[in-house]
Amino acid sequence: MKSSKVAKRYARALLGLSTDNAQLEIWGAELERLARIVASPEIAVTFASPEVAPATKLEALAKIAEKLELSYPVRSFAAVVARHGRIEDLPAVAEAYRRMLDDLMGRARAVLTFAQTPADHELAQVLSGLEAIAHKKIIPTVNVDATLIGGVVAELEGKTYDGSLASRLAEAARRLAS
Amino acid sequence: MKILSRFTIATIVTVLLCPALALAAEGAEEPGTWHALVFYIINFALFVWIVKRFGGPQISAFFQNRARNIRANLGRAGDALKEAQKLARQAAELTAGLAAEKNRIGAELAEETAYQVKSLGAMGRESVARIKRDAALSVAAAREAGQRRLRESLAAAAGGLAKELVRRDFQAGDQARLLANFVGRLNEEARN
Repeated sequence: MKSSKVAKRYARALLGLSTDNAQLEIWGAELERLARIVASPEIAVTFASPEVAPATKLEALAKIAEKLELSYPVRSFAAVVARHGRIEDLPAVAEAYRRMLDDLMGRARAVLTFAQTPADHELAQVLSGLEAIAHKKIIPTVNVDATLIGGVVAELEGKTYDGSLASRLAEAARRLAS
Repeated sequence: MKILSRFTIATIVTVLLCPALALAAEGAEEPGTWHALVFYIINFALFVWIVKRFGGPQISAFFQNRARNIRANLGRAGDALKEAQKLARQAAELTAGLAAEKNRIGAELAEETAYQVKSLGAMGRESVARIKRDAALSVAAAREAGQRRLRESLAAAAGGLAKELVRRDFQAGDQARLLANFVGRLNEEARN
């Protein structure tokens, strides 16, 4: 909870650095790349270790940022986070930033699971339905799970909308059993 | 001791003054005379006076003391008698009470026994009824569980079979229909 509050505070600070939405999108993408690197197990262990000096961690983070060719504001932001001993919170900061940016842009993210890779028009059809519910533009993450047989399962803003054939068959079997 | 010595003196004096010894020395007893009678009277009066003079207070004290002791003994004996009578009365009451208590306990035991017998009988009947009920319920539950397991097995088999059949015959049109149905439900929810 505390970490989440801290992450929101940092994310809000980065969002406040610019009013240019395009710039904010770029920073969000860069922050996510940096967070993915920091969260990778081999790097995370180093940053979490108390044996590694804070200065060394700061230097390592700066090198990673340089390798990723991050923009100056994001590199500076990462340095500030590192100086405050919050490197491990970077993934949470990136997540909070993404949520805040999505809210700012009036969009939502959905995880869509299909039985097989969907055609573009199928994806667009499902997205239109979800946008009608959320009244926001939907950014999808598409997964494929053959056990669904057909249909789709959508997870949007904490709710699951199950339109898969597997769940229908399971429901039918459950009714048959009861 | 003092009383004893005075008695001894009185006895000696009496013997000395008794003429019987002198008369016995004179041979056969002569017929009585007035002189002898007077002598005996005086002699007896003297004897009485001496006894009264020297032994009277002691004899009186002795007999008073003796009477006091006897009265005390009588009093104690009376008290003891009363106490014995009281104990005897208490014993009699206790005996009577014990008999009554025995009768009461006997009655209570009989009543309690009858009650317990009745209770045990009721409990036994209740237990039998409960066992019957439980057995009936257990049988019903077992039957229900068996039916449910059978239904579940059949449903699982049917579900698996249906899934396999659907997967085998699943077409692009089916997917389109499912998605259309799904989007329709989403739109329905959006309208609500």
